Amino acid sequence: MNRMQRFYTMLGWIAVLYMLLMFIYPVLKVVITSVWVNGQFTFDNYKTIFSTAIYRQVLVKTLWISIVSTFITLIIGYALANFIAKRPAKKQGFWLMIVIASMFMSLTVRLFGWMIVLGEKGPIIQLFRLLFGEKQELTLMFSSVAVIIGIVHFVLPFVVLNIYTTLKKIEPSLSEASIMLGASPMRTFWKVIFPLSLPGVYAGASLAFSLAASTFLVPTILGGPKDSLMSNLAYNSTITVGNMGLGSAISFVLLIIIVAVLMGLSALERRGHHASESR
Amino acid sequence: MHFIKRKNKYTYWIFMFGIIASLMFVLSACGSSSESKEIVVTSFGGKYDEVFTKYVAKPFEEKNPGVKVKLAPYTGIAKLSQGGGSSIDIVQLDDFDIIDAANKGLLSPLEKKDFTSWDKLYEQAFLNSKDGKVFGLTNVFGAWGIAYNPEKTTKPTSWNDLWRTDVKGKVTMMSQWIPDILMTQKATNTTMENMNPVWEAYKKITPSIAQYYSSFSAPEALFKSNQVVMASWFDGRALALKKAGTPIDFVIPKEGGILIRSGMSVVKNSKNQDLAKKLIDFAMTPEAQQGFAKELYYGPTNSTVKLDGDVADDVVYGKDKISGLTTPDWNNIFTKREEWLLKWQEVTSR
Repeated sequence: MNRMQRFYTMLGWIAVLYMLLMFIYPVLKVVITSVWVNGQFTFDNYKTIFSTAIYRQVLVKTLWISIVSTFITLIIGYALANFIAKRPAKKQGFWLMIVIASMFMSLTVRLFGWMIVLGEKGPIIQLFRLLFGEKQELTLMFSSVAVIIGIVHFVLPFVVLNIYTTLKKIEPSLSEASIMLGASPMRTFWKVIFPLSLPGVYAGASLAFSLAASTFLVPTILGGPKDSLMSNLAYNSTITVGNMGLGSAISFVLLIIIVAVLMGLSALERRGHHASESR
Repeated sequence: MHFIKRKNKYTYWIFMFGIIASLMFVLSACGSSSESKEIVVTSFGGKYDEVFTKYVAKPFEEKNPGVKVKLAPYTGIAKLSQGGGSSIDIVQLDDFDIIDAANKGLLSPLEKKDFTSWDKLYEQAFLNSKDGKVFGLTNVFGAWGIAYNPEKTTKPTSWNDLWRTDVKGKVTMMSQWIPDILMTQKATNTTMENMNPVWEAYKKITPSIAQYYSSFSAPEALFKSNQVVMASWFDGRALALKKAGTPIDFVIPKEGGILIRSGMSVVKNSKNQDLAKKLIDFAMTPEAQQGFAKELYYGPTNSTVKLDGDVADDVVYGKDKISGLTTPDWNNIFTKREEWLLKWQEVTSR
């Protein structure tokens, strides 16, 4: 047993080393690139970001779009996960498979699919015209709405899996007890099941938010001129303009913001834990 | 393997490690011990790769037994300058990228003595660094103009037609693209010294734009699905789409268009310098360039290439057509490029 433990500790250290080399080092490199311009230490790139209106606007837009899509994903994801967790145990694998199946395909291809669905000749606009007449104008493509739809589609499987695993861990006897003691199914859900599933919700929210805030492909394909997000600006600055320093600075600002939001979420989660323990 | 199991576990692990290590050794040896010479060329993907293989790579291999031409994915300047060109012999890039890479010292200079077709190339085919040395040869020309759907809108005659009210929300232009900026400069009658009218024009046009696209192939899907009816685009792709049955036409507006050049260069650290130059020379031959004109509607850069019929009318062909388009002075533009692109980003994301 002791030897086994030592073996796992070793594996753990290897993982830590991997993290340091493959994650911390590149991030440090990004930070250095952003402050070390032409052999000089300077905060100019950060000054540019915070003093130019457009970067501030895009930053706000990124946060806004990420928050909205995280909320929508959580609602749909929770409903789906709850539905799957209630299926007969044998069938759950099948339902999960359906949710995850979309991830087997490249995101680019899936987003082109959305382009057709949301487009002029797509089913949604056709139905809208049928209901409200030919003259009604509705455009979905190249808007924030299209971007949010794309992001929700992209992060949904991650959220469903997270919430599903926590829902599965909740003892069925708890809800039985609650119902037997006279609580309505609605009350049972909100007072028993939902609080217990919160860790999964927070984990899903963290994942959804970080994926949404850093997405680059979705706005590129589904968004219009006003829907560029921070990662698009970072890409443009680095690849098209060739200004690595500015691109790195934008990426780092985005990273800091994501980390801040995640810390907020995990603080919420911890508070939730204590609350449920003290009850 | 039970003889190992009976001994202790360490022997087992050492044994397994030995097997894996030797397997990896064999595999890596397989990769490197090829007898023939391999030349790695980056390419643009899709149909371009097919045509390049058919008219350049395969015939070149046949003429040079023992040589293998391998296509590699597109490698941009950001990757090249970070050392991403270590396994590449030839890069194919847009003219400005080649000139930029040359100025950064990433490419080998090219000299007349190594190329049989040197004297036959149009002067626009040479891609020069800021000190005037040739670092790349253009193998195909294109024209930057306006593509439009003739079934849904009338023929545009000016770059200013992109913000006609009847096409509002149905227009696409390229994202952070100097040729578009240069044409806006012409349409607004201004010069490099005073760019304000250009930025004002971009502010005005942005509400009409469905999307600023970021890859050459993007308008294809946008036209096919009727999301746009007008686009700043280049002739080759638009004509290919037209021949495939999509309602689309291409025009050079009255203010003119930009000469698009796709060039080839030898990477400085390539170990096959001579062979690489030979392959570039081969891509300049009439046979190869006719293939590109016929299948991709790209114009020849070798003045001895003969094209006939429709193809001759469609593509950028002949001295007059080539000099009728603006060839950007990239080395001059580079001094303003970053400022322009960041300003572009600012005015269009509002």
